Amino acid sequence: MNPMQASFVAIVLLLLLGCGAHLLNVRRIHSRVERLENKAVPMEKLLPDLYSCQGSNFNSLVLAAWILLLAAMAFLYLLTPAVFSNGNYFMKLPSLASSWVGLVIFGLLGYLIMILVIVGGEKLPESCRCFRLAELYGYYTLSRNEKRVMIAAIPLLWISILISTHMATVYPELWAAEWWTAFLLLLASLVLLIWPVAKEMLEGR
Amino acid sequence: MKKALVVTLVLLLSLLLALPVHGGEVLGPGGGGDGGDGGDSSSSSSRSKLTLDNFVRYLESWQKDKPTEYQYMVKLLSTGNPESYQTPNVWLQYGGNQTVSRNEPLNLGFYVQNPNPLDLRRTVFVDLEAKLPGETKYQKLNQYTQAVQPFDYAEKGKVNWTAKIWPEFASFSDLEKVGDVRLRVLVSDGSNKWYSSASGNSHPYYGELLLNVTNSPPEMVNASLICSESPRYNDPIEYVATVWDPDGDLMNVTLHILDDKGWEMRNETQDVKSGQVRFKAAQYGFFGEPDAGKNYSYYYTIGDGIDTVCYPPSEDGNATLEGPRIRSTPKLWVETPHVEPEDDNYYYWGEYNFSLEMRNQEPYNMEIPVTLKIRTEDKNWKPVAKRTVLVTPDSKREYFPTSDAFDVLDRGSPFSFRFEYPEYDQNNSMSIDMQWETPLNQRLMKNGLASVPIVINLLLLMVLPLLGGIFIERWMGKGRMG
Repeated sequence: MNPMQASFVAIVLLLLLGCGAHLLNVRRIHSRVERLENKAVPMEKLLPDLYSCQGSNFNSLVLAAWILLLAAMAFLYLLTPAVFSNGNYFMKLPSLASSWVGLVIFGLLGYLIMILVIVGGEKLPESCRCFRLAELYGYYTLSRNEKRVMIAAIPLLWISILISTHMATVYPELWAAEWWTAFLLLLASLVLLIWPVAKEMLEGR
Repeated sequence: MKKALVVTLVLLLSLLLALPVHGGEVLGPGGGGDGGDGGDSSSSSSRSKLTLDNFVRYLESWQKDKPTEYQYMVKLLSTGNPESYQTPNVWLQYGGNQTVSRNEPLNLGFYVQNPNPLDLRRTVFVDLEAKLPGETKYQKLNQYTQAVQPFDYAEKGKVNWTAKIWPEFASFSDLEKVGDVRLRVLVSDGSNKWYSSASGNSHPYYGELLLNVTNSPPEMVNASLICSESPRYNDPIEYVATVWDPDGDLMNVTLHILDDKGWEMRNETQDVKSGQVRFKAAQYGFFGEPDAGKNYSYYYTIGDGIDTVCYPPSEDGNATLEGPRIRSTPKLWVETPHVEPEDDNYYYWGEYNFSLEMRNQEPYNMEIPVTLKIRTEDKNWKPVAKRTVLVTPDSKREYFPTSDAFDVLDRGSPFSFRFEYPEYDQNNSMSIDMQWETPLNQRLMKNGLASVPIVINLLLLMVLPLLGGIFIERWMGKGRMG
């Protein structure tokens, strides 16, 4: 496994960690409420009470950021053979990849998967609604500044996609620093997006 | 009486031996006379010869000079009694096996026993007769009758005998049919004729000899086709084989030529003796221009007048030998295949102008479809272009420009290209290949970052997620306050 492939594992692990932290946060709140109430409180009754709206604009932008995140990952790792020599867009779908709209179609595939994850989350039962991506930030307290910082993930991801595209256009002349820059931007975006979860995990003990 | 006869004969012989010269005449092998009744005796070859003329002259001189002895001689000669003459017994003498091949040396002879004393013996004439397979009558085999003179006998005990071999009869190699052959002897002593008796058979003496004559079929070895691996129809093509008949017969060797469907196309026959047989294709006109491009096979039949065999031998008689494989007649002349890339960087998306020079070797124009195929590490002779080309007797370069020859999977790969056509070229091939030295460029994307397509793609990529987020929020209303 080369460093680029290791970085992919790191990103996936970070996502899983964020997911795990979110689950722990919700369970911790649930146990505290049960302790205060001194009785068992069903999760499906608790979660609606815990949820607070963060605003439509913020929610729209943060969902756009999550959609962009998957596309940016695909562009960085799967667009060229640099990381996965055989499992890449140009090797698997050569005609489509070489077409005039090859890039946007590749991006749309990533968007589509993420939209399906968001929409599919709505089908989760009430007891698991905390895992609905569209409601993720409703269980956390976010200041206006924090929201602004989080929204900065969108331009960071744009730049990451731009760099990935540039690398594809000049491939095989690959500049490692360029690739790692795109990776760091992606990593930073992911950190921004899971920041409220991590902060609650650290501060809410 | 007998004693007197013996004394007389001894006296007579002593007298004859004591008179080597008489009246200028020589008595013996060098003596004069017609010798008509003279002859060799197989049992007394060392004795002097007494010719009849000399004997008559002796008698005449004795009549004048020695009348007493002459009278005694007359008396002596008159005691021979023709009534006591007995016919000699004759057998065929054959010591071999009774089943014989036609070419097998027979060593056939006859054996005569003559019970008569010398003075009563007559010359015996012997002929060999045979009833050949399929025949109903006996026929004479020998050309010259064998004669056994009275002096030819040897004496063994009380038996006077002689044996002879038929010098002109060595084998049945001239027999046209095989089977049972009955042999007997026709004997004549000048007065009577009789046959050897069939009942008197006792090996190796036969009154009638029954032989089973068999034929040895002809044989063929080392059949081959002398020509190049893929000759033209008018190249020297020669069928050569070695034939041999154990019986020494004249053989008729037939060459059968089969076409590629196994049908007999031609056959030619030669009458040959044992040795090499050759069929020259040009001499017989086996192949012509229409035969170009076809594969042929062949086999031989060899007959000796009695048996016919096939070569190559097989149980069902359908075995054949392969060849010749006639080359197709080339009509095209193709040369110098070439490719001219639009860009010297050899990008996979670039336009490539493939070309080759073509001309018709025949003096007319011809329209043929030509297909361009390419081979890379990813593709194995993938057709990329096809068009109909007018080929003229004058050489002309034909171009096949295409931008679809390669795709992204071919980047970095060396490539070959091939032109295929439905006529044979000067190399007897229906295609011409070219391995190009320069590999394709490794570049992945045709357009640069600042190009219009990429910019449009990127703009869409940036805007669409925002629209997606807004649409989802509008639809779900998860962030709506209150």
